[in-house]
Amino acid sequence: MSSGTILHVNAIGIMAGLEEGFNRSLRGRPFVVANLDAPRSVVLDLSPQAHREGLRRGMVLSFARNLCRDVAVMAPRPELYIAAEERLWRIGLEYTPTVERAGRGHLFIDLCGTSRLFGAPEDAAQKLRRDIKEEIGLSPSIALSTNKTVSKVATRVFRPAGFVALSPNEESGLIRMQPVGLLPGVGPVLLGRFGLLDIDEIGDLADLSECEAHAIGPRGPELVTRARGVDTSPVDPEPPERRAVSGEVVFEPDTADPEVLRLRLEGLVTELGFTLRKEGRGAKRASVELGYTDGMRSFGAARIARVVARDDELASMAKTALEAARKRRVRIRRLELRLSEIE
Amino acid sequence: MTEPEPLPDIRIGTSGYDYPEWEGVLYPKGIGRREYLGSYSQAFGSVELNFSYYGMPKAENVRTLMARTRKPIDFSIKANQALTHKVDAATWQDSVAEFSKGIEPLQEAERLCAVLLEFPYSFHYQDNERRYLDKILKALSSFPLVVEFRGADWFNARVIDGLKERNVGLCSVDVPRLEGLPPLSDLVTSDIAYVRFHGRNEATWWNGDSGTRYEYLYSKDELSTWVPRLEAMSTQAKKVRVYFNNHRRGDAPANAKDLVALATAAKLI
Repeated sequence: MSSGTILHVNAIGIMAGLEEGFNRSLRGRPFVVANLDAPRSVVLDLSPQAHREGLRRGMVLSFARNLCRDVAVMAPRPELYIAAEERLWRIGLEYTPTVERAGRGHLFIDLCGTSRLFGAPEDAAQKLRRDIKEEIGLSPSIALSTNKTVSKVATRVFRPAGFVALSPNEESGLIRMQPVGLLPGVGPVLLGRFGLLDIDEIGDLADLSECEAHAIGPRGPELVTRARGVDTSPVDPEPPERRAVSGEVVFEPDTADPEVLRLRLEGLVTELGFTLRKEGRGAKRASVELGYTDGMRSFGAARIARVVARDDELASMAKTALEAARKRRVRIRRLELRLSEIE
Repeated sequence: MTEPEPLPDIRIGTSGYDYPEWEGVLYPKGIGRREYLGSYSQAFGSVELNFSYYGMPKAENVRTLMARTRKPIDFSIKANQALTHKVDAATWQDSVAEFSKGIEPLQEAERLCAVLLEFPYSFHYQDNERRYLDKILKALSSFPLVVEFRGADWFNARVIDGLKERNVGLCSVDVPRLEGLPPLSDLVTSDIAYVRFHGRNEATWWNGDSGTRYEYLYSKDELSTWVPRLEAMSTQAKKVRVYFNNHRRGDAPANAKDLVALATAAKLI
């Protein structure tokens, strides 16, 4: 049995990993990365030791300090993290041009056709793992399978810094038994709904009929297909800025005022719309992610059939997405707007 | 000037040492079985004792073994079959007590690296087995523990999180890539990273006996792919222990020496 060729590199904790690499006194200690200047600062990233103490990403810093008195706080250094992500991507490109940047610290790499240069996919994965350690000082989780969904679930299981290579025969068996929350696309809202339906594991979701899949929601059939380990989406080497444009606003202090949210959303639409029009492009889809004061997140999206580029049309789509995302009466800390399906 | 990084504590050895067929491979011919462990300790830094699987270890025997080493190697020890393969609901707690008493001298002498609980393929991820695993890990929690699963069904996030919470190691295995066996993987869940090489003999894995199943000599190419894996594991764990279980014809010590050479060349040990 040979492994699949789709490699997922999951450098979760990239900020903490880099800080630890630069400051050896942090090794083995609980520490967090957080902005001390902000009035209501939250934990942006944390060391494994801090995680063991019960601290979590998105936790308010004062609360985190109460939980763990001797936790060290490191100020974020965005330029450092951006440079590391760039290097991570470039390391991937040394193996194949088919490298997809899939969010902070995440890469998908299709190793198909690289065996003459780097050996079997599992051997190439080990070389890449070593390159990342040597050049950036990070130890990401890495997983190989035949598709992006299975590889991503696998890095979420074998974390942190683990490795797994799955053959096609092994994939379904492995992902079926994992908690359903590890399936990409399942957020806190869906997880709550699945809890009510006694869907605890990915296998429970995979066993739903087509009719039941539709009952979950508009993305139900797609999620059920993924839960069965089926994902035909290719590794997309197109730079993220060509696939989508996004911007975010961090509210200081946090707010629940709909007028403030609307104004800041329109500001983002103007900014992103200008970027698109400058290149003669438009978008079909808008999605909004809200980060709440308590660290929870919610997500909403809107899509129209034709490509739009005018501010008023983009704003209308973005507002629909915002309304879909606003599911809680809790103050909001962060709003991210993403325009995608760009043509 | 920055201090050089200390070398990680990686030790490579074999599962068991008491094999007359290793004379001429690891031991000088005709040295006698009493001298095996002394000779072994000059070649490797750690050994996995497996006699304890077949019979309960006795404290005096364990003390004798420690005295027979010529260098202060450390020991991992395989849990008795009464705790993993032939569990009797009425007596397993007595077996835990007897086993614990037998290995206490190793713990007292600070030469115990890990207690290995190797569960068979028939030990599935089901309610009864999960409860038993929880109980046995609690009962032996005064020792550093490592669990080896032979079935792929245990490789899920709940089990992994449970092992991390209990600071119990998950044994990485090198086995044939056959359906139902653990996937090709490594993950550190405790202070100890633990690897066992069982050979990749697909033909005899399901049909062979306890000897022929592990009949396999790894090539240097196959072993070299483990070097970056050991390196990655050493960044997460305080100790890395690697044992070769392909004991037939002296393949285990030969492969252990090969891997020591590869790890030395990579400046891991």
